[in-house]
This record gives sequence, structure tokens and C-alpha cells, in this order.
Amino acid sequence: MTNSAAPITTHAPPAQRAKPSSAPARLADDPSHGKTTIAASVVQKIAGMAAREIAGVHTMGGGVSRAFGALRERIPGGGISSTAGVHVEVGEKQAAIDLDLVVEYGAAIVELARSVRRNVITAVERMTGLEVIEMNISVNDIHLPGDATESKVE
Amino acid sequence: MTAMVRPGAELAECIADAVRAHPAVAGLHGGPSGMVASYLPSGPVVGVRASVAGEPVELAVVLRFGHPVPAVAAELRAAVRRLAGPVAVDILVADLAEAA
Repeated sequence: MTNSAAPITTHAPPAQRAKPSSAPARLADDPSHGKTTIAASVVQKIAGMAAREIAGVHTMGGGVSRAFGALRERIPGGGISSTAGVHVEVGEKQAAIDLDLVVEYGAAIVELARSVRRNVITAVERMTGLEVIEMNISVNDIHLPGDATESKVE
Repeated sequence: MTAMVRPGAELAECIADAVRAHPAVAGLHGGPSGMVASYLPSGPVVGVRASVAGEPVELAVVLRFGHPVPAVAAELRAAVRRLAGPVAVDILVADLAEAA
């Protein structure tokens, strides 16, 4: 009997990527002491902040969420949404992240995406202990100089 | 941090005070649809479910940005277990407070 019908586990194969092996597993230690659950909005905010830190990221979100964001910034106390353009799925030990970016004109998009991916994965894994198994970046617009319809996200 | 439940105070209130005292905790949270709460004669304690000593304790917290969640969770769990005894402590990190 071959093991071709091995059950599909939700755990990633170990040591596929070079990273400290201690961080994600710490969520699972001592199951009898209770479990730690991290809400999706927590991962969303961390990922949003980490992506914005990279120079060359103009803003985040697709057309609709940016339209609402522009409106919300004008409302006192509304502020800039740190979760626009960030979609996450959070499991017990792993998370998957989708980002929608608007980049600055002149940025090398492939390099930029690589930096964003690295920064977001590092921030999420370090702060939450979740392993990021998938991170999709979609660059859906480019911000041209002099195109001042939106305020710059710092 | 108190190692025992204060006389005259409910366990849930003592846990809530201990959790709020942690520097990484911005506040307690009601959890999904406000289900995490203890109902006491003095009023509800939102974010802590600790009814009977010896039963599992449930926490829902809002953390401050920049603290590693597993380390904070371990510290909170230790603090709760000092008060409530060796029970399971389920922690939900419901949100992050945006300081910056």
C-alpha cells in the first residue's frame, strides 16, 4: 500500500523557508494552559502598517476602498484607515495576506513588491507568531507626480 | 501584582485589573458580539469571563502596537494563573490600538 492517499494536513512542510523556527510554534505551547487567538483585524493592521513603511508605496486599496478612504479622511476623527487594501485569513497558526497597492511612479515594482513582502511577513511573524503561508500583492494603480487628487500616505 | 484575590472583590474584577496593568494592554474588549464578559452584582466586567474558581478563564484584549503577541499572551496567562490558579486561559487578541 502506497502512501499516495496521505491525508492533506493544514501544516506547512517544516523548514521550507529559512526563518527562526521558534516564533510561530510559540502560540501552540502548553495547550492545557489555554489557547491564544488573534483576530483578523490585528493581522490586518500590522500588515497595513508594515506595507506603508516601504518607500514607494503611495497608498493602499482598490478603487472603491480608496474612494471611501478619501471621504473618511475629511471626516473629523475618521483618520486614515490602516486596513484599506489588506485582506487576511487567519488560522490558528498560519495566516494568508492579500495586499492591494498603489505605487509611486518610478518605483521598481518587482523590487518594491519584494521589499513589501519581506517587511510584512517579518512584522506579522514577529508580532503575532503566526506563520505567513501566502502573501499576494496586487499593484492596481500607479501614482503619477503632480496627480494630487489624493493626499500622500505617510 | 497581587498574588491573591482581594477580599470582597470578585475574581473577574481582580483579573481585569491585573490585565489592564500590563503595559502592552490598551484595554479589554467584549470579544465577538460582546460575548466575553462576567456578570457580577456590581455590573458586568467586559473582556474577562471568569465565573467560578477552577473553571477556564477567557480574556479578550486590545493590545498596543508593537508588542509581540505570543510573549504578551504568555505574560497575561501567567498573571491570570497567579490569581485564578492553574486553569486554562484562553486569550483573544481582538484588536490593536493605533498609537502612532
